[in-house]
Amino acid sequence: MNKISKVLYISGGLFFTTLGLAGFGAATYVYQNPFMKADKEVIKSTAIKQCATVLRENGFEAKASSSKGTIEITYASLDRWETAMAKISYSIQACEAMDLTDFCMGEICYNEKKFPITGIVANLKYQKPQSKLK
Amino acid sequence: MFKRNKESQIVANEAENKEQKESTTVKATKFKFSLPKQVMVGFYANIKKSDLKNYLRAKAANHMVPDNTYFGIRKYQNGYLWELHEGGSGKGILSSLAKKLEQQDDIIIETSDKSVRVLKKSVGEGISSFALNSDDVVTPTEGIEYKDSLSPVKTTGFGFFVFSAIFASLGVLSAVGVLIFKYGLYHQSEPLMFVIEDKELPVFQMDQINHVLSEPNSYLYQLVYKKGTGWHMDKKTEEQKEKKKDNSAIEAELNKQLESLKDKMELEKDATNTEGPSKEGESNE
Repeated sequence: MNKISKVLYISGGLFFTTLGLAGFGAATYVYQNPFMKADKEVIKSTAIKQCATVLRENGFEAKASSSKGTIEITYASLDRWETAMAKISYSIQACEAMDLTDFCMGEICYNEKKFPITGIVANLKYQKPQSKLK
Repeated sequence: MFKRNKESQIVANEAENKEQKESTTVKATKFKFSLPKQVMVGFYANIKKSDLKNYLRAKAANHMVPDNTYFGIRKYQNGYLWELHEGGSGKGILSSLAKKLEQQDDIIIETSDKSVRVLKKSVGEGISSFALNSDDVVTPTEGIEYKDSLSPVKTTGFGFFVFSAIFASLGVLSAVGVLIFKYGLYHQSEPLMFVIEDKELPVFQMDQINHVLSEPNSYLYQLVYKKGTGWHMDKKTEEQKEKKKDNSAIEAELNKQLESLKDKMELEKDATNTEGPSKEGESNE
């Protein structure tokens, strides 16, 4: 009976020791990573929508695609092109998550569907954010 | 006379028994813990502690019940004083014994059964000890206290089990606590930032555009940017613009003439079809 109880005590002791080590290990890991994971898909779609809103408010046509992470900008006129240039630059600057990949301003600029437009056609692409902690 | 002697003897015995009982009662109340049933005390010179432990384990197996035996070791002169207790609360006497041996050579240690007599060797170092008979009436030496902590000869693993259980509880509690802090109290998402180096803005090309427009006879046909290749300006002269316009006019005129020709041909075709069938009729007849 004593032998059995000793084996049980030792086995139980080893199990609890392992459990304790696992608990402390998990606590240390969580303590070193106190922030919850950010939902990057939500951040992406929010950033694209907000950028498209800014562009539309400034008089541009904005076709946003969250899946591709792109925005196609169209402005079918060259009247007051200086103002258009200033406004589109301001909008791109305001969209801190988006980078300019293509730009065309002139008599003939082609959009995504290869349709010629006299005015401005531009494309923005979503850039993945970086962690501030690194 | 004989009867009176017998009676007085009986009275004397009764008195002695009563005294013994009282002294036993006094003994029992003096200690707040259990006295061991059997105590062995000794001295071992010129030995390593680990070897002494093995010796004591073997001795306990031979003379006592190992499952309920405790041992203690204390450095003394050129060796170690040791003690073995069978039963009891696991409290030892070596520290008080060593102190007492400096004052006197003959010490009586009290147990629950046979007392133990410890004698300091007159020649050489160390001590000798032996158990007294149960019915020997001796006075235990004052100053011998059961206060040292002893180790069990046979470990059951219970201590390890208790320690590990406490350790596990603390580990689990700390993990739960940190999780509650992270998801409940702190509740902060990972801070992110957008970093776009060298972001291109069309407005930076204004100077170039104005330069082109200021050139005589030229205009900006197209301003193009592609990531990787950079900005490109396509400028044309006014003549090219006019030529393009002229070309367009000529093209339109040609198209007009082509259309009218097509119409004429259609009319001629219709006229030919109308004359055709009457001639055939004449030939059949």
